[in-house]
Formats: sequence, C-alpha cells, structure tokens
Amino acid sequence: MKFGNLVIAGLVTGSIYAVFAVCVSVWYRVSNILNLAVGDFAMLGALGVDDLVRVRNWPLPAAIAVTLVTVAAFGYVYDRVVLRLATEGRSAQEGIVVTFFFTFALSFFIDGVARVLFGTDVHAAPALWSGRSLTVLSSLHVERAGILVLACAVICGSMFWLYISRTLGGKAIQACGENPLGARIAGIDTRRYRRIIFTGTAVLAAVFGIVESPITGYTYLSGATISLTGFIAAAYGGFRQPGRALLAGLAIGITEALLGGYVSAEYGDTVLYAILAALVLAWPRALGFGSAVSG
Amino acid sequence: MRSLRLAGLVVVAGVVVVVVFGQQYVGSVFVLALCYGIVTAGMAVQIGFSQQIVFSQCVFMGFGAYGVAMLNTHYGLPSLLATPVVMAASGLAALLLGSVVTRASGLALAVATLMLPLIAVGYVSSAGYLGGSVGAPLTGSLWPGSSTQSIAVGNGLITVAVLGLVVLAASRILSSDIGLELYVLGVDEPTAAAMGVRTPRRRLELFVLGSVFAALGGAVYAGTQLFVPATLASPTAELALLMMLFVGGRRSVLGAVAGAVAIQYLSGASS
Repeated sequence: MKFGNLVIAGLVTGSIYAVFAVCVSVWYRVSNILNLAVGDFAMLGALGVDDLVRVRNWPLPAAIAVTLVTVAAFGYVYDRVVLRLATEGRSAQEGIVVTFFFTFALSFFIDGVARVLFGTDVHAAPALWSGRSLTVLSSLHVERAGILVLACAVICGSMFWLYISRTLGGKAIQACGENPLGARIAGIDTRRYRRIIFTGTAVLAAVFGIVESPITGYTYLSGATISLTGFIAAAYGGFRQPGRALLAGLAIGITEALLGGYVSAEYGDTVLYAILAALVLAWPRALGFGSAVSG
Repeated sequence: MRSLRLAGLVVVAGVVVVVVFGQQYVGSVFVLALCYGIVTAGMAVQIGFSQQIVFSQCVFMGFGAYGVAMLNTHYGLPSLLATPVVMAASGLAALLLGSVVTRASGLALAVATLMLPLIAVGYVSSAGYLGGSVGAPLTGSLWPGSSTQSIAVGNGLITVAVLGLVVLAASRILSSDIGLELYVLGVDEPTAAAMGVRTPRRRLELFVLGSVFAALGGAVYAGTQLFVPATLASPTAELALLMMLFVGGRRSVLGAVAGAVAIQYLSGASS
C-alpha cells in the first residue's frame, strides 16, 4: 500500500503544480508573457488569510473574501498600469524583456511586501476542513486538505476547459494567442482578455494558496518555488497548451512522490530534476519545446 | 580602445569607492555587488547580447565559491591561489556540461538549464561536506592582511581588479568579429550558419565563457565574504542575477555591472 499512498500524495502535489502550470500557460496564450509571479499570489492568499485570522482575529470567511478581493484588485491595477505601459506604451518593450521581466519584477516586489507584512516565519491559512486524515480502502491515507486541493483542481480544470473549448470567450482567448494582430482586427479586445485572465489566475492562485497551505506551510519566499514548478510544468506543454501543462504537472507530482518514497527522500527532487532535464535534452520536439523564447 | 576606457572607468570608480568606503558597511555592500557584477558582465555577453537563454550562472557561481571554500578549508590553499584552480576546473566542467546542453536551443535550452540550479541546491543542501543547508565557511580571505581594515580594502581592490579584467574581456569580445558573429547567432541562427558561423562551436564557447565568468564571480565572493551560503546556487539567486542584468540593461556590459551594484545596494540598504 506504500505505492498507493505515494501516488495519492503525488496526485495532491501534482494537482497543485498542474493548476499553477495551467495558470501560466493560459495567460501566456493570451499575452505571450510568462507569469512568474503566480506563486506569489498563492503565497499572498495563504499568508494574508493567516494574518487576518490569527493576528487580527477576523472571521475566516471575511478574511478569505478580503484577501481575494485585494489580490484581484492588485492584479488588475498591475496589469492596467505596469503591463499596459510595458507592452503598449511609448517605449514598449518586446522579446525576453517582456516575456520574463515584468512579472519577475512583480514577484520580487510581492516578496518584499510580504516580508514586511507577514515576517519571515512559516505560516499557513487555517484548514478549511480540519481533522484527522481519512482512510480509504483500509490502508490508503488521504489528508483532508489534500482532498480539497484535488477537488479544487478538478473543478477549476473543468471550468477552464469548458470555458476555453465551449464558449465564445474561450475561442477569443485562443485567437489572442494564435495571432494577436489578427484577433484585434477581428474585433477581439485582447487587452481586456489579458486583464481578465491575469486577474483571474491571480485569484485562482490565491485560492490554491489558502487551500493548500495547511499541508506545506508558506513563507514570504514560497512563491518563487511554486512559480518555478508551474513554469516547468507549463514548459512541458510548450507554454501554450493548458491540457498538456496539466498532465505534466500531475506527472511531475507523482514522479516526485515515487522518487522520494523509493529512491531517496533526501535526493528525490534532485533525481527528478535530472530526469526532467535529460528528457528535455533527449526529445525536445516531442515534448513541445520546438518553439523558442527569443530576444 | 573603447574596451580599455570602459575597463579603466570601472577600475577607477571602483578603487575610489573601495579606498573611501572600504572599511564601512557601504564598502562591504559595494564589494559584494562587484562580485555579482563579475557574473552579470558575463551574462550581458551570453544572455543580453547573444541571447543564449540559460539559467545556470548561479550554479557555476556556486561551483566557484564552494570550490574555493573547499580548497581553502580542507587543503589549506589560500583563496587567491585557489581561484585559478577553480577557474580551470569550472572551465572543464562547463565544457563537458555545455557539450551536452548546448545541443538544444531556445526554450529547450532554457528549461534544461533551469533544472541545474534545482539540482545544485538539492545536492548542496544535503551534502554534509559542503556544510549542508547552512553553507561553507572559509578560513582565509583573498587578501591575507594583518588587520581587518587592510583585509577589507585589499579584498575590495582585488575584486575591482578582477571586475576590470572581466569588463575588458567582455567588451573586447563584443567589439570584435566574434562579437558580430555572436550577435547574428542571437538574432537568427540559421542566417548565422548560412553566413559561415560555426554555430554549435560558438554556442559552446558562449556557454563556457558565461560559466567561467560566473565561477570567477563565485570564487571572489567566497574569498571576500568568507562564507558560502547554500542559497548561492539556488533558483532564487539565478532570478536575482537576471534582475540585475535586466535592470542595468541586458545588452550593455557596464549596464549589467551597474545593475548589480544598484540592486545589491538597495538590498543592503533595506536589510
């Protein structure tokens, strides 16, 4: 049953990676910008709720609502002011500067603000479903927070899929990614979609931070690690295919858990990243690395 | 001549700051910034100018720093003598690693090299002989002075001299025919190949150059700070290096150094 427990743990971790990978790839599809701050929004969600509940004694629902509204407002303003100026202003930037720099700078900024607001200790939002871990099929153990994470991942993944594949808005998003100029000529407001997706993925990341933080605990620096894993999983989907990014996130999570359980708890992650690097180098095109981040 | 002027400007400005502020906190932050400046000067050539998007500089910076620390503490070699040994070793390591990873390009190269800091920090944090998750201390600095004042100023002047040489080398490369080849390689690789540029070889040389500069920066870091934290080889450190490069202007060697100084100064002032 060790295998089963490891797979369940891997699925929980993988679903987190998968959601962040989907956030990265969906927004890249609309804007051609990699969101390296997505993990920082998760951290803001977790530590923000923790701060309001633990330090300021707010009720949990109010703390969650205020934190999510704050994250949404921040994401909206950042897109409206910084990203708009960076991509459409008089001295608009292009290439890797836009691809990496502005969300990357945002990540640093959020880290700095979080350090001042929340300190450097490990904290977590209160568990939304507290209690002992559940036992399934007599020997498989599942954390309650893990079930919430999985449920959120399935619901959010399905909603994203339905939105992208079944709605006019989803088609417009696809058009924005395929050919931004053509999309604008066809009357699609690419700016609006970019803003909606950026704000939406920021809120989604914050929700996942709140749900997931009771499992791992967050510090003000946790965002960078989360963003990085989302980035890697999204890269395996060529940054433009949320479905593949989701599968890659799940596969990375399960492989990580199995390596940790069977190979080495200490060097499991190191072996995982070595495998991932070897895969990229061995089959770059088959894994969707045909496109290039160019300057 | 322009390269010489540029390097001269860096050396003169650096010497003035080290002599005036060398024994103060500002001076120590400045020397630390110059260590990063050595790395970002190489990144300006590799990432900024030639657009070889790799995320392995922090790994080689860690290689250089840990190499000097190990030679210094375990074998009693002075930091200044350990530096060329580590440089040679890092060049060899970069050649071996580069001959594998530079077969890929674009996104594949970026993602493959992004794994390297993750692998490095995982290994370093678990390796007891490297100090584990805490880091590795050194027993001797670059400048073996008798007083803390002379050590601080001596270390600073050595760092400035190394940075001056790196700026000179990077600027000379960029203003030469090789620099032109690297520029074309970055803009359009098929066109570069059609023009007769030996693209695989140039890609490998570029990788080795950036890695050796990063290792040199790491070696000087270890010799001046007397401690190598495990986080030096982490992805966060790589992101910080990229930030320094972008802030200063990724296509300018001097800008990359200025970016390192600005970010490190702000970071030091806020801590």
